[in-house]
Amino acid sequence: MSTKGVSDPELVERARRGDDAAFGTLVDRHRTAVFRAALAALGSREDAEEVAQEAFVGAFRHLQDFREDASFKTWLLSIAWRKALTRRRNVRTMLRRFVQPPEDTEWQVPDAGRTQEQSVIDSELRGHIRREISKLAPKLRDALLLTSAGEHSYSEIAGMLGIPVGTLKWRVNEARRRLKGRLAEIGYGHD
Amino acid sequence: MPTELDAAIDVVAREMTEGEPSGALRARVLERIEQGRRHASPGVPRWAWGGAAAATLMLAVAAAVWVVSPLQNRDTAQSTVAGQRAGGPGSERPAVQPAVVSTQSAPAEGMPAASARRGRAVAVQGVQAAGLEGAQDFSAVPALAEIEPLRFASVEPPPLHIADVEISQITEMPSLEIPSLDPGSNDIQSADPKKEK
Repeated sequence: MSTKGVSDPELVERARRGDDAAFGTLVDRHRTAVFRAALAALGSREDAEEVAQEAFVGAFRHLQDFREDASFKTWLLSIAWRKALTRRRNVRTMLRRFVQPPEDTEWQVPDAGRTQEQSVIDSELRGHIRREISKLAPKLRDALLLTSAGEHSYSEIAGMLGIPVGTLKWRVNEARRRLKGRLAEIGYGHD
Repeated sequence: MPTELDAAIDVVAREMTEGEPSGALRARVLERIEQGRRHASPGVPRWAWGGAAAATLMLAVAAAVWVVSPLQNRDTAQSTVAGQRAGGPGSERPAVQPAVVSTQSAPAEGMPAASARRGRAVAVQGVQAAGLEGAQDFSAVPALAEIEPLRFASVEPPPLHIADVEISQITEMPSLEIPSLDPGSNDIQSADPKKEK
């Protein structure tokens, strides 16, 4: 049975009845959004991939619990976000215990496939911004990265984080304000 | 410059969350779902397996106890009887005989003679069968009278030996003189020295 053009609620209903292909379509449809949300929380592509997989498996197991108050995507993203936060806490604990503080860890950014716009930015400035984003408080950093990822709407992110949209917007603005302040301290943004 | 900074922040933030999961994600997810199905039995929750295992174990223990305990009792009884027959204190005691059922019982009133005879014949057959079964039973289980009575003499404590106590003669004590303590008497302790002055 074809699943192209079928709505999420219909696919969920089919998956509940044991149609694996329907759930496979849901995976294909939301894999990028789930992966990017996990990447925003973890900064590691391998960890994000594992969390995305766990999130989909967990969603399938709890498909009976899904109420259609929110969209399937929001529900799925909140599962992925919880799993990513759990992993982040574990990783942070391990790093604190054995290696180094997490703010010194480098965010994994792919070098290939940069657009012209990206190449315009000075590589040194890019490095500073990346470092300052990594040093932001997790709540501010999460809000900034999730909104910048372009895969999620404000209401989806607010639902995922469990906060009002207004709070989310404030966090994004506050993250930008702090970043610009830090960059100004090191010579960017003024004069 | 601030607008350029905002744009730069947007670009870098997008870079940090850029990327696609591997194409095998769907296949891996579906495979794990299938694995989960294979591990879970249809219709039977996991806790039920634990309960069934516990019940089976209890049944096995109960069956083992039930099988072993009669054997032990029989062995003990047979060894006791064998010991007594080999010259034990109860070996000269007469064995208890099975009760004899009278076959000459009178027919009930109003019963015809033929049916009374048939009843007696049946009773005799029953008694003979019971005698055979009784013989088999007595070979396996000892008669109550053959069991050695318990002796408690060895449990009795040794007699107490208490040494005699000698009490010496009480000598006469000198009498004490106690002043009178009547009200108004000249009590030394209650007397106020200031008043006396």
